Amino acid sequence: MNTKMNHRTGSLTLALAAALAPLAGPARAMEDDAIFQATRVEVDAGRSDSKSIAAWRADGWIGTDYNRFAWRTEGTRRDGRLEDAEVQALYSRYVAPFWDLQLGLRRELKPAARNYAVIGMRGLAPYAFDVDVAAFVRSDGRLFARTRAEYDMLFTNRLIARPFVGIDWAARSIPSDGIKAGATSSEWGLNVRYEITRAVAPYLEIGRQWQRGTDGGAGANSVRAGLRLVL
Amino acid sequence: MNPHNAGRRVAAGHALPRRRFLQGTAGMAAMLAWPLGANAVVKESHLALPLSSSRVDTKFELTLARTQVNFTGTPASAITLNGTVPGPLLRMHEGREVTIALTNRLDEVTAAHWHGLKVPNNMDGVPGVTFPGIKPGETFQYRFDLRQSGTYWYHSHAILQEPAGFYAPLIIDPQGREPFGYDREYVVMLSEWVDTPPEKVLANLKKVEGYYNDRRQTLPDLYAELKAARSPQEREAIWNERVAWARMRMDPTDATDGGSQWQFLVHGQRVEDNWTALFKPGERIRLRLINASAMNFFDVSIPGLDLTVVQADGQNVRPVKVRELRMGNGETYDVIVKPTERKAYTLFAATSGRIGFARGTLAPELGMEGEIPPMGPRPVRSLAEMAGAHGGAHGAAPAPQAAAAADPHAGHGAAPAAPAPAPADPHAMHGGMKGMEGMPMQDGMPGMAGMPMGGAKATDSLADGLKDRLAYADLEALTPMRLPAGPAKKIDMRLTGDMNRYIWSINDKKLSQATFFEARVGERLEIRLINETMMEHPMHMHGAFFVVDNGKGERAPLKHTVIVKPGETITVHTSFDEPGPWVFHCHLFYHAAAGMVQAIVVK
Repeated sequence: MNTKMNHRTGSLTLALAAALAPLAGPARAMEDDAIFQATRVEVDAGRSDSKSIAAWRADGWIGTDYNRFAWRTEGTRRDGRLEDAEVQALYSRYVAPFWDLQLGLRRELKPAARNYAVIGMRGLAPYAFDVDVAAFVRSDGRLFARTRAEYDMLFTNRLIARPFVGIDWAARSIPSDGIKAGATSSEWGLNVRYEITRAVAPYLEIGRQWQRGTDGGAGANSVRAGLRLVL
Repeated sequence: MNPHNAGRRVAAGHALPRRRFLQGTAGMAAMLAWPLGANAVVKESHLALPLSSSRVDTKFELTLARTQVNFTGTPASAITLNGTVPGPLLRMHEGREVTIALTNRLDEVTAAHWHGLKVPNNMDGVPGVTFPGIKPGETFQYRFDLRQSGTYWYHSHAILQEPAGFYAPLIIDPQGREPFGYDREYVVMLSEWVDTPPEKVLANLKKVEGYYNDRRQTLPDLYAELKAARSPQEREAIWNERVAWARMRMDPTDATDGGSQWQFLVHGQRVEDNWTALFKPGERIRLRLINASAMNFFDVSIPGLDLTVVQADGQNVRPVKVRELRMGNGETYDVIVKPTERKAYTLFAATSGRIGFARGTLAPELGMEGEIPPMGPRPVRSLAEMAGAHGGAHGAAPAPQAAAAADPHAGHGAAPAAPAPAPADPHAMHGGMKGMEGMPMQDGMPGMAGMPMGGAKATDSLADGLKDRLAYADLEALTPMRLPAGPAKKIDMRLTGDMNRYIWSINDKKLSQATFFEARVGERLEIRLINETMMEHPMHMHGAFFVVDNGKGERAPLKHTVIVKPGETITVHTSFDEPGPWVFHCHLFYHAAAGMVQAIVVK
């Protein structure tokens, strides 16, 4: 306990957080700057346009109130083949009430192995919308972005419907990749979960995915059932 | 192990107080439940032990250890003092020197804090501030003179140990005569229990906002409210209120942090255990009420009996008769009741968030119980309450608070340009009330008020001088505190926080980032407690009592803990006799653990 300001740099905290990850949890006597963590995992399977589809989405953070290491991963298997998968590792910093600034790296594993630098904002917007916006700079200098919003609607204290919308953007057209400037893909739908406890919630999700191609766009509807865990 | 002894009370060397002794009987002794081994249930008997059976002493020995308990049907781990939850009553006498040896058999640092006692700073028991704490295996000798009398308690100041069971009552008998009479007395220690270890509770509160809140407003609730509205204006008001809360990203049902997993106890006894205190009809019973809960206020009443409040926080007050009183964490009230009928009365302590209640019985014999009144609906805050529009004890005019609350946030928003290494930056940004700027303050919206959250309305007297609910404005000290003359040093303590991230702070700084206030011994201090959050906070000061500015002028009451309502400002006056760092913190333990602690370093 000291009466002076703690002088910890962001990077030191990051290293500390990584090193102390296995010890995360208990706060001690008067220590109010303890390390906590949250992990959320959603795994589901279903059908999309008469093909089988399975997906995972997981994200979490570990750190103190103001400086955290945040991570996320998501991916989809369609018809038995891994269609897309990615991982992100971010430094997440509390910059305003309800908002974190996030900086880090994104590695796409599928459809192609690619690296991006990430800068984004994640938080709760007025009227309680969960908002996640990020800009990506690919290793070849190309600029992309992603915007996602979700909203929790309570039918009961356990039955919660969550409409969501997410759009991927590209700054410029890349004819060789078949990418046109503007929205390159989008996903929107409704996820309805039942929280047996805060930690375990099965869900049903219906959604529509849209992919823009050189010849216009292709959309697909999906229905999935899955399990959400908050650890 | 237990200092209680059935039988005659030893009253050494001073005039016998005017009370009849309860003669201990073999039957009573047989009903005491002693720990029977490592896995024993460690609670005391359902029968409340009258204090006439407790011994006044000057030397005490306490051992702190982990013990298995069973409050819910599932074995769980508790921290016990001499094997019990609550720990043993320490009974002392004003004017004497006491020695308390605390042996730490836990595997973590601990400390006992004597809540409300004026002791030398190095005996105050705040690890990391007043002393390093008591290490595992160590025995620490607390030694201090008693310069006051009344009902107090002691508990761990290693913050997350208290909810696990480290709390117990402490009573100091006065040197002189008390200004009220009674025939029998009991300690009523209210607390709570949850099987989840405190560290895990805090981790969960950090994980998901409102983790334990299972009574949020739902869409069907909104639909039902709109449907029940009697006019388009009412419908609009309901809708606007909902929208306003959503815009602020706050939850009006988030009044307290616990949920349905919590049990509420009277002296370690659950509702079904039925803690029972015996009386003979016509006797005056003194109940020493203590709120030792970690996170809940209690609204205490005994249907059928009026409570005559004679002491608040151990200090004599002019008696005031009330039907119900609200107790914040750490507060104590001594009340006299006079049951005249030969029947069972229910001592009912509903948590302020209405997530549960504690219950005891006052009866002429064991095995009786009274009717348990309904708890009432879950309270839902209204915007009007947030403006601190209710009466109560505060000097500053409430109306400007809404505007004042907006001011500190004017500096927020733009992330400072300072580079990452400066940790000070985020601390200016606890915007709990940020969304409230420009919010029109709406009064008395029909259908939305629900349970009034305001702790104590400015009370009107019902018949016979009986007040419905105790308010600080009703308290008058019998012996006013003489404060030093001269200009007062003004200290502002803004109660702040970010509920979304479960950060709680004072002046936007958690304890680990705070710069402590400074004062001199004997200097007059005027402290303004300004609540900028949407929750009530029981603010507790170590090392001295303070005078609460409640409009009673020279007869303003002395307290060591005061509840500050959302949007409210309470001004207190004090001065310290002893040097050292004296902490001042919210007595909601998880708020304190999340940073809501400050200190005044007195030189």
